[in-house]
Amino acid sequence: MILETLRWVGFAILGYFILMQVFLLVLSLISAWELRRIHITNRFGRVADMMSSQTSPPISIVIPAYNEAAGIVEAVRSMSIVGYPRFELVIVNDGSTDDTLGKLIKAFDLERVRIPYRPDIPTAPIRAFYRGRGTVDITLLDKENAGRADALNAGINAARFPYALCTDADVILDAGCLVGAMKRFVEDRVRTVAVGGNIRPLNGSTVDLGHLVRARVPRRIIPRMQLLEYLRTFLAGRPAWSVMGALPLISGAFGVWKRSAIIAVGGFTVGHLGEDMDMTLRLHRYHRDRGIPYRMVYEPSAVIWTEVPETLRVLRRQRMRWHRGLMRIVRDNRSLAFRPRYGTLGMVIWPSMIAFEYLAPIIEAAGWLLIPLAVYLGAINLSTIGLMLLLAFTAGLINSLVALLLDESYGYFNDAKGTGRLLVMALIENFGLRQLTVAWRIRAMFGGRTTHRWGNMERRGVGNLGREELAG
Amino acid sequence: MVSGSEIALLSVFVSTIVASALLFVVIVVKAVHRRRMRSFERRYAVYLRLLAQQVAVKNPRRKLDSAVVTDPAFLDALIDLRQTVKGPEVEKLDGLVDELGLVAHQEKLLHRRWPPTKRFRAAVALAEMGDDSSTATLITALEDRHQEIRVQAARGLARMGHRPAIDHILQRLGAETPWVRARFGDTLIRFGNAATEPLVRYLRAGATLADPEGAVEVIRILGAAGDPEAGPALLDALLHATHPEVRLAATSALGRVGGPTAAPIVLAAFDTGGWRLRTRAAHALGELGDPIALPRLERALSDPDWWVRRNAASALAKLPGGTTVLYACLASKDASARDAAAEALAAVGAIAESRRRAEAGLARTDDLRLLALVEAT
Repeated sequence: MILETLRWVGFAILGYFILMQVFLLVLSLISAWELRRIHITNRFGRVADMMSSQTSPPISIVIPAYNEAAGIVEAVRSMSIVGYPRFELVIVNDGSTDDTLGKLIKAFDLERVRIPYRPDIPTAPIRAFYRGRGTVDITLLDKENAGRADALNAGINAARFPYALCTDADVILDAGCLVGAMKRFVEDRVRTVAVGGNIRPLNGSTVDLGHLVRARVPRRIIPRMQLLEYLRTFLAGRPAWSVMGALPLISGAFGVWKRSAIIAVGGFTVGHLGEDMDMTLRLHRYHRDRGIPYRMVYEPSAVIWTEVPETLRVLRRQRMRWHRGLMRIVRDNRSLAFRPRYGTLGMVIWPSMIAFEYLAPIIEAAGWLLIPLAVYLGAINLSTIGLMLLLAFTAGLINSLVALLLDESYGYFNDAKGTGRLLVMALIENFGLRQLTVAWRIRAMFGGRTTHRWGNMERRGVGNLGREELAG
Repeated sequence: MVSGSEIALLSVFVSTIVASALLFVVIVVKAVHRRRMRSFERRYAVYLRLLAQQVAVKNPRRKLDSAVVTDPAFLDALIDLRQTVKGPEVEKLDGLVDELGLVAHQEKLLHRRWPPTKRFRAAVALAEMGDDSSTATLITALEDRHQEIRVQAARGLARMGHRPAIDHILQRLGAETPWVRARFGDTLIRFGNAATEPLVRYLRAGATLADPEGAVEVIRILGAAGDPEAGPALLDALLHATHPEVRLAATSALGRVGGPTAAPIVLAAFDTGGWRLRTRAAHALGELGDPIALPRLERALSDPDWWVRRNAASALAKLPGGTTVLYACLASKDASARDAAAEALAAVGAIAESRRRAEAGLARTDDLRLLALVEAT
C-alpha cells in the first residue's frame, strides 16, 4: 500500500513538471503569434512618429531613490534624454542617508520651491520640494524614509501628467521604450490603465555614459542563467498573458500606469515585498468587481536594461524576497482563483501561477526526497523515472529554445559566442542552479524574520560607469 | 494495451527529436540571421556611397543597375540619403528614382495581396520617396485592409503635400482605430495651414455631433497646427458642441490658436462645464495671454477644484499683471492656493529673484513672504 502510494506520488510529481512545461510551451506559441503582430506594427506602423508628435500623451517618470548617490546623477541624465516629446521627471529621495539629495540639487541646479502637493495617497511626510531651472523638467521630493512603495506613492501624488512610468534609479531606458509603451495607451485611452515593459539584464554589456552601446551575453554563469529566465518570462510568457487579458504582473522596474487608476486603488502597498504584482492584481480586482471595462497590456518593444545579481549571495536575497512577496500575494488573492468573474486571469492564469510558481518549490523538493526513496524501495522502476526526468528536461529545453528563437527578432545577441553561451546555459541550467533557487524559495517559505527584509542588492550602478563593460 | 513505460519512452523519443530539431533550428536561424544582417549592412554601405556619388558628381562613372530596386538595402540607403539632402540633390535623386523605375516596382508590390511584409515595405518606400506619380496608388492604399499600409499611405501623401488627399484622410478618420487616427492626425499636421480649411469644413459639417471622436482628433490637430484661421470654428465648437470631450478639446486648442476674439469666449465658457473645462479654460487663458482674463483667474484661485486652482495660478504667471495677483495670493488662507501661487512664481524665476534681493538686503515684503513659504516644511 505504501509502496503503491509512493509510486503514484512519484509519477504525479513528474507528471506535474511535464504538465508545467507543456503549459509554458502553449504560452510560448501564443506569445510567438502576438510578438509577430506587434513586431509588424512597430516596424511598419510609424511608431517612431510619436517621438515628434504634438498629440502624444504626456508622461511623468517617477523614480524612487534611496542611497543612490553613486549613480543617481548619471541615471537621471540618461533618463532626461529619453526619446519622447513631453515628459517630466519626478524623483523621490526616500530619506537617503548618503548624499543623493545634495548631488541631485547640485547637478541639475535645483531650487527649493513650494508646489501644491495633494496627498491623494497618504505617504510619509515630505520635507521639501525642488524644481529644476534648466531645460529638463525635474521635480525632486525629499521625504522621510518609508520604502519604495511609499516613495512611488509620493511621486504619483506630485506627478502633473495623467500617466506615470514607475521605474528604478538604476535602469537604462532604451531609446524608444516610452514611445512603445505609450502607443498602447493611444490605442485605447479610455480602457488602458497600465502597460508593462520588457526588462533585460544588462550584465556583460557595454555601457557608455549611462547608455547601452552594445548588448552582450554575460560571461558569468549566474547572470547568464537569469538572462535566459528573463527571455522566457518576457518573450515566451508575458505576451500570451497580455493577449488573454490576464497579465498578473507589471514589473516594478518598468510599468506605465494611469495615474487616476493608481489613486483609485489607494496606491502601492507600503512594506509589500511584491508591490508591483500586488498593484497589478488590485487593479484587476477593482475594475472587475465594478464592471468597469479596462485593459492592462504588455509591450515587448518597451525595453529597459537593468543589472541582475552576479553572485549567489545577492541572487539568494532577491529570490527569497520575490518568493516572500509572492506568498503574501497568494494569501491576499486566494479568492481570485477559479472565479469566472475574473475571466481568464481567475480561471487559468492565476491558478497556474499558484500551481507552477508558488507550489513548484515544495513539489520539486518533495520530488527530490520521495522519488529516490521510491526507487530505492522498488516502488518505481529506475528506467521509467529516468525516462520521465528526461522528458521533463527536454520539455524545459524546448521552452528555452523557443524563447531564444523569439529573441531573434530583437537581434541583440547574434554573435556566435553569445549564441553558444546561451545554448549551453539552456542545457545546463537544470543541473544545480535550478535546485539552488528551489532551496532558497523553500527557505523563504519556512524561514524566520531575516527572510522578510529587502536586503542589499549590491549593484554597481549603471549610471556610475564610464565606457566599460559591466562585469559578467 | 500500451504500458506506462512505453508511453514514457515514446514521449521521450518525440520530445528529444523536437528538442534536437529546435536546437538545430536555433543555431541555423541565428547563423543565417547574422549573415543576412552583415550582408545587409555591407550592401547598405555600398549603396549609400554609390548614391552619394550619383548625387554629388556630375558624370558618375558607375551607374546603378535597375536590379537594385528589388534590394531592401538599396531602398533603405535611398530613403536615408533622401532625408539628409536638400535642393538640387533631391532632384537628382528623384531623377534616379525615375530612371530605375523604382516607383513602378514598389507600386506593383503594393498591389499584390502577398507577402504582407513586402507590401508593408513597398508602402514605406512610396511614402518616403514622396513621388507625385504614386499619388493615385497611395490614395487607394488609404482603404487597404492593413492599418500599417493606410498609415504609410497618408504619410506619403502628406510628404508630397498632395492637398486633395486631405479630404480622403478626413473621410476615413471616424472609422479608424484610435492608433491610426492619431497617426492620421500627425499626417494632417504635416500639411500645415493647407489642411485648415478642409478640417474646419469637416467640423462645420456636423462632425461634432455625428463623429465626436473624429471631431476631437480634428480639433486637436487644429490646435497643434496653430493656424489662427481655425479660431472661429474652434470657438463655435466650444460654444455649441454638446459632447463634453469636443468642448474640452476646443478649449485646449483655442489656447494655441489664439486670436483676439478667443479670450472673451473662453472666459464666457469658463463656468459652463465641470472642473475639467474650467481647468482647460484656465490653461488656455494663460496661453492666450489676454489681461482681460485676470479677474476671472484671480477668482479661480479659490475654485473648489484643486486642478483649477493650480492651472489658474500657472496662467496668471503668464499674464501682464498676473504676478501681482500671485504675490497677493501668498497671503491667502487657502494653503493650496498659496502653494499654487508659489509654484507659478517659481516657474517665472521669482524665487531666484527674491533670494538675490534678500542676499543683497533689498528684499521686499512679497519676497520675504515667498521665501518663508518656500522654506517652510
